[in-house]
Amino acid sequence: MNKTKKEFLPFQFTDLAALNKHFEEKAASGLILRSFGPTAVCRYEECEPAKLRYNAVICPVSKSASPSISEEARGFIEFCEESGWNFVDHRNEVYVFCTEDASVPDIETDSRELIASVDRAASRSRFISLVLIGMSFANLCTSVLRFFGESPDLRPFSIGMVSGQAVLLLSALVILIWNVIRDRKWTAAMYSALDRGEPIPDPDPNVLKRRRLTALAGIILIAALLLGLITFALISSEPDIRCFIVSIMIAGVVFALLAVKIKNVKVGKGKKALLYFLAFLAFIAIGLVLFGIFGSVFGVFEETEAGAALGRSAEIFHLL
Amino acid sequence: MPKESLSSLTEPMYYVLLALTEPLCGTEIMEKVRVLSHERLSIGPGTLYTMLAKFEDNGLIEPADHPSPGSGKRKNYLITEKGAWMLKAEYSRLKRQTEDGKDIMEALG
Repeated sequence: MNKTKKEFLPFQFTDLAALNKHFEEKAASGLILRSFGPTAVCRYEECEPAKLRYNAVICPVSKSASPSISEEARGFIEFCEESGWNFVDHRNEVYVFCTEDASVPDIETDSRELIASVDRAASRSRFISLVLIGMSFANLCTSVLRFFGESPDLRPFSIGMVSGQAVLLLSALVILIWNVIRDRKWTAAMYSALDRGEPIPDPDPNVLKRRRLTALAGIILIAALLLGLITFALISSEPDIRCFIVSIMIAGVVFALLAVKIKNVKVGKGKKALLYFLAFLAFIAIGLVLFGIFGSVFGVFEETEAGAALGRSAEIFHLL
Repeated sequence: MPKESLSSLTEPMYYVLLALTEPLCGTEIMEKVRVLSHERLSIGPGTLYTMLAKFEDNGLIEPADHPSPGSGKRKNYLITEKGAWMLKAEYSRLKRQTEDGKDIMEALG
C-alpha cells in the first residue's frame, strides 16, 4: 500500500475548472486523488507522476447535500464509465472522474449546460451559508436585547462579545456578497465568451490563487461564527441564554436540512412556499420545545422574567 | 430531472436523433455522432445523459425492444414517431436556410 497524503482543499466545491486543474497538477506531481469525501479534506495516494485528466461535474440526477449515491446517480456513473471515465469520488452533487485517455471527450460538452449547472449548485451552496448567517444574526439580536437589561458591571464584557459577533457576521456577509458578485461576473463572462463563439477559458492561475484565499477565508469565518456561538453559549453567565442559543442552533440545523429537502421537491412555486413556511413553523416549534426541555432540566424559568415568558411559550408548544 | 419541453433542436440534439434511427446504447450514440459529423462534433457522456432524459421525457425517443448486438446489457434507445417528425422538421428548416442563402453565397464566390 502506497503512502497517503491528506490535503485541506481551499476551493469552493462548485469551482469545477479549478478542481480539475488542481487534481491534474497533483497527479503530475505524483499524488493521485483517492477520496473527495463529504469534508473539505482530500486524500491522495503517492504514486508515479501521471498525466491524468480530471472532470468534476455536477451530477444531473444527484440530490444536493446528499452524502450517499442514489440509484439514478449510479446510472449516471455507469454511463460515464462506459465511455472511458473512471469515477473517483463525490461530494454532495459534485462528482469527480478521471482518465488517462486524451481522446475521450469531456463529460459535459455542452458549455451552456455546464455553466447553468454550476450556477445552480453555487446558489444551493449560498443558500446554506445564508441560513447560517441568519442564525448568527438572530443570535446577535438576542445579545443586543440582553445587553440593555444587564447590570452595568457586565456591560464591558457584553460589548466585547457583541462587537466580536457583529464583526464576524459582517465579514461573513461581505464574503458571501463578494462570492455572489464574483459568481455572477464569472457566469456573465462565460456566457459572453460562448456568444462570441469562443470556448470557456481556463482559469487564470492568479484568479485561482485569489479564489483559494476567499474560499479559505469563508470557511474560517463560518467556523469562527459557529465557534463564537458555541463559546458564547458556554461562557454566558445566564443559563436561559445558554439554553436558548443551543435550542436555536439545533432547530436551525433541522430547518436547514428541511429547506434543502424542500428545494429538491418537484412541486409548484406556491406549494414550495407553503412547505418553506411549514418548515419555518417547525423551526420555531422545535426551538421552543427544546428550550422548554433544556429550561426544565436546568431550571431557568424561575430565575429570570424573560426566561419565564419564553418558558411559558415553550411549555405550551411542548404540551401541544 | 424536471420536465423541460423542447421547441427546437440544437446541433448536438439533431445529430443524436439522427443516430437513433437505429437502436443504440450510450457509447454507440457518441461514436455514431462523431462519424455522422465527420469528427466535427463529439458529445460527452454527461451531456448525452441529460439529453437522452430530456428526449425520453418529451417522447422523442424510447427504450428499444431489440438492442443492438454490440451493446450487451446496456440500455438502448430508438427514435419515436414524434422524434422522427421533429427531426424531419429540423432537416427541412436547415435545408430551407441553405437554399435561401445559396444564390448570395454563390455570388460571393
